[in-house]
Amino acid sequence: MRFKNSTRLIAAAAVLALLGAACGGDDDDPGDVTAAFVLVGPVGDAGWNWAHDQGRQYAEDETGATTLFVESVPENAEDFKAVAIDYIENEDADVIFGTSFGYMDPMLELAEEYPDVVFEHASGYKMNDSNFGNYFGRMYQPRYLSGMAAGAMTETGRLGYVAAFPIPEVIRGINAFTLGVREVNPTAEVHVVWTSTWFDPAVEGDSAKALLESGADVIAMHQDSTAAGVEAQNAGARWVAYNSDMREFAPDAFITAPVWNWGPRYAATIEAVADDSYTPGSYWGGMADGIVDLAPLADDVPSGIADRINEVSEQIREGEWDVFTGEIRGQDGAVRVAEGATMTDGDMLGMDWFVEGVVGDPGA
Amino acid sequence: MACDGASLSVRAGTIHALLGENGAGKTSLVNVLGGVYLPDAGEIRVHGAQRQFHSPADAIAAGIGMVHQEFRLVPTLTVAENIALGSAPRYLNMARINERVSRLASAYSLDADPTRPVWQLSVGERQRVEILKALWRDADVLVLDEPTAVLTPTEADDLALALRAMADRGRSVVYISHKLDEVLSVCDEATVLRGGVTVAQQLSLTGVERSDLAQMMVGEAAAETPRPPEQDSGEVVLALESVSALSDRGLPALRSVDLDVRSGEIVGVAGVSGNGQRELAEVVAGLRPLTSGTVRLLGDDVAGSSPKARSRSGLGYVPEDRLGVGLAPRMSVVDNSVMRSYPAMRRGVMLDLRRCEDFCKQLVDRFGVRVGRMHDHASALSGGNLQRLLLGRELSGEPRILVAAQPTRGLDVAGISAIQEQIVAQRNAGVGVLLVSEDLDELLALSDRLVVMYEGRIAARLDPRTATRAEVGAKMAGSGA
Amino acid sequence: MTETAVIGLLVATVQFATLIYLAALGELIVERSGVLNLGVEGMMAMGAVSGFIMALATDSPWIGFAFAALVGMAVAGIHAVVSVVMGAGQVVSGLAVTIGGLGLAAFIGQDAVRERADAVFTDMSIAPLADIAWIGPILFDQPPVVYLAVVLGGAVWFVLNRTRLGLALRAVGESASTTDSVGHSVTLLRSGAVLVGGAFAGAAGSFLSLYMAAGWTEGLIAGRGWIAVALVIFGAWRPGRLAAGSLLFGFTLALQPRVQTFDLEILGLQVNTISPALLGILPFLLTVVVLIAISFRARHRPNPAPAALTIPYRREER
Repeated sequence: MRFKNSTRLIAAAAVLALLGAACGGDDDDPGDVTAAFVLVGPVGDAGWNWAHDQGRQYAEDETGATTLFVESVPENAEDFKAVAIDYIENEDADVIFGTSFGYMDPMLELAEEYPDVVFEHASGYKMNDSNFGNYFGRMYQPRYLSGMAAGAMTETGRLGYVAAFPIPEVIRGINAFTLGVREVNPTAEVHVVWTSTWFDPAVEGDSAKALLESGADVIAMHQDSTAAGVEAQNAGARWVAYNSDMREFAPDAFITAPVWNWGPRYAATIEAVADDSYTPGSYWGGMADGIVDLAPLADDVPSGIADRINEVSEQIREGEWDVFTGEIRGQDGAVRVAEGATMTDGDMLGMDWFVEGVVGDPGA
Repeated sequence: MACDGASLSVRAGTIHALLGENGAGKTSLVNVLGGVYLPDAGEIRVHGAQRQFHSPADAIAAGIGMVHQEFRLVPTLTVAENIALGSAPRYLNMARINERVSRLASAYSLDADPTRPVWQLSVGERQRVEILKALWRDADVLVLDEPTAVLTPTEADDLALALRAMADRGRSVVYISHKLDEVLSVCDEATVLRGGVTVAQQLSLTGVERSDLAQMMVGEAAAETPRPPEQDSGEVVLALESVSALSDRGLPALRSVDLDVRSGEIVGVAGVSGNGQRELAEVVAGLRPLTSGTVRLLGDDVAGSSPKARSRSGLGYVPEDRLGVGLAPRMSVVDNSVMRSYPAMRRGVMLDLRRCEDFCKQLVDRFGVRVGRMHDHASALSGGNLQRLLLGRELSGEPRILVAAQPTRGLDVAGISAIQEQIVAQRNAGVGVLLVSEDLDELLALSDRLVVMYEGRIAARLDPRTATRAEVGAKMAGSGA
Repeated sequence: MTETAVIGLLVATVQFATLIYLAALGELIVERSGVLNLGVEGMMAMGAVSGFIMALATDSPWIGFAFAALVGMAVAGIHAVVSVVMGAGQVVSGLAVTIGGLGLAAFIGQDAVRERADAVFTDMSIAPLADIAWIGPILFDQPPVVYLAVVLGGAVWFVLNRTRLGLALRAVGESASTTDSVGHSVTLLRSGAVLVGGAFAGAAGSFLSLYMAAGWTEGLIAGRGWIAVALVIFGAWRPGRLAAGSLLFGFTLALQPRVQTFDLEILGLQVNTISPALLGILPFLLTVVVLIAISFRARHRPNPAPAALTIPYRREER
């Protein structure tokens, strides 16, 4: 299918015509910047894409920049380039945000082709030295905090974790969550079920069910739909959500959620583009930068635990302590991080082992 | 125009033959009767009442039952289900339907097990199911198109009995056939068509001679096929040693067949369709792999050599399926005629079109192919002309061995004798001919030696000068083997 | 492995089986008539989204379910017109319906994505059967669609094997010209089958949005329409075997997450180390095995596939 014929483009064009094209000027006013967002799914997914769209709206309000977005662009070079080039050629976009891993290589190529446009890529690792950088967040930090809350709410000491794929990002999240759980509940176990999909509500829900049937009473997840929460609620169990504050989908089950908050990063990038101060880098922001956070806790989380969570949260924000600080043991009981040591970013980004307390196979 | 003012009247309680050469209009007339074609003019009366057939359903409703050459049966359904299809009660009580089918079958001595799926049945049994289908719907007029073409002599006799039983109960049978002897023994009356026109109507067959009928069909006295003069045969040009092969369905079709053909002789292969004759021809042509044994062409083992290589080393092949294997229906007559000799028609890398046309014209003249234009599709030719074209093309390569499978099947009298003449001429010129045919008269008249195939084996080797039809028929049916 | 876990596994087996059985039963009807419908996935998506929206609007899962069947039928109408009436390629038409149906469903459902439906199916226990140990919770404490699927399976078997209509339908899938020659309308039979098949697919889709996922999002069907198409082959085009096959496929689907929670050793193999991704392809693997088995058996008996499958029929071409 050629993109030019697709309804997606027609719809995007119609939206743009209504907005009117604001030209990117050479002065420093971020209001003159046009920023375009390319999303991999619908903004209505309540998850990943919704979070990015929230960030886009925040940045538009903060900076006054013109923002454009297109949903459900497949992760292949042809589709991505067609969308991006249209934004650059016809809408004078100054910066393109690509929010899915698969956009990485086409973005690198376009960055060479259009040296005057800034390309920023979420969740990737490639960059150049002029106009292509990447950004991501230390989601493991709020995951640890959510684990503390979950560890306080479990009665059986058995928690379930519905996880998409065994890749470092997900494994890191599971480990951080488990460390948090065992901080308040040293004997608790976190049981992992891999779904082999980022997004399949029926499978996610059923996986939660399976964990509940096996005795888990708290379900955490690294998935993009809310199905696990609905199952937890139906079973009278509890739920740690992800991506955004999903409490409305399962209000009785909801404990908290590690959430994305892309807005400040987007605003900062747009401002840097406006005053020509942009330099590419590998940005991995944490709670201190506000790019990740913990959603408000449910009312029934004991206040003592809530206080401890706040305390740790403060330490993390201040940079006094981070999650993967020793002593940390692996599943087999062997020490993986020595007492007092802290894992490097490189080790964290390549994490392929589970910490003690996780039940599951990190290579499944 | 396939039919022009043709008439057919059939009296109740009779078996009525519809005779005519190919292209005389029999099929068209029958299709009009069956509601498949709409007539441009004329009328159909059933029991005196004028009827209009717009579809097969109308014909069925008027009491006309058709038994086509190709059976209209659903192989996976049972006998009873096939019979009831189209006229079943809303809810099926199969036990009751099976019982009714059994009763109907025994009433007409059409033995059939209603619960067996049709794919398990023999050809003869399938034909009975077709007839039962028509009787089930209470057809007053049963039309059978070449019903014995696929039957063993015994099965044909049983069929004749069943048809007589129907006639005795006041039903009418329209019996289309080429086989004049059979028509004379089975039918009461006949209608003869020639060129789309009726030349004889309601002709009583009592006391009529075979040659009279043949003359009416062709318009001139048809000569009985004369035996070619005896001649000494030469060296072995084709030899099969313990050849075995599988059928399309993966079942053994040839079981250890030994056969040789010498130059200057015609070896006839008789057998009821489906007993390995087709596979035998294909094995020689290189279209079917052997499971064991050897095939020698002019003394050389040709195992593994392609049809093309065999053709180059002197094999001519006239396949049973003219428009599928033999000729390409959607290519022109010219293209089809030069297919075998492309290399000789080359000019550089191109085909010399002029030379192709000349070649085609020669072939057409020499073999009497009647064509409209040489660039028409081959599918526009009639059966006889297709066969002449095909035979002509194969003979143009001046083969030393000729394998001809059913070369005269479905042809009219004139076509048959033209093809037979060509085959005999080849034999007289020293070509070794393997002739597979279901026409016993043809085999007995042309062959120098005759083999009969039954269930993939050579069941008998006979001398055609002394063998009788009955003798060959018995061997074809597997008796005394 | 606890009793709860085993019962949970079997309950989920029945539910997944129901989902694909409904869709496959419709596809079976279509294929028995000689038409291949590769649009199941798209029809399920359209059924899922429209059934969900209708249930939201009317507060009744049943109205949503019925509406989903109607929408599935309407979408199937496109396939019927293109492939049966006009005699165009069934594969192309079916794929077009799948692609178009998925796209249109995503478009229609944009506003329904964040909706939480309260009007979804709930479990209906059949007293006193539901109190039987083991069997009760597995078979008699399920959403009503499960019971309906059983009834529909029986009904389809009855119509196919015990009625004139079914006989004609079986015949037209084997040989359209034969069926035409005895006075049945090939177009009517086949179009009807395609429409009914669409209704089944639409209803199956809404079982996802009205029970199993209890919501609508783009990508909800996630290939289950294709599993249904494979299941028809696996079930050798028979309703009974289809039911057995759907239970087996349902079992592999339900096993996928659960096997990871089972601390169990079978023949020296720790079951929770079996790759769930491998389990995911099991239905398709089994289907290929069955296809191979069929082709071996076909040397001795006719292929169970309807002989006229994918062959359009035009009367003048016989």
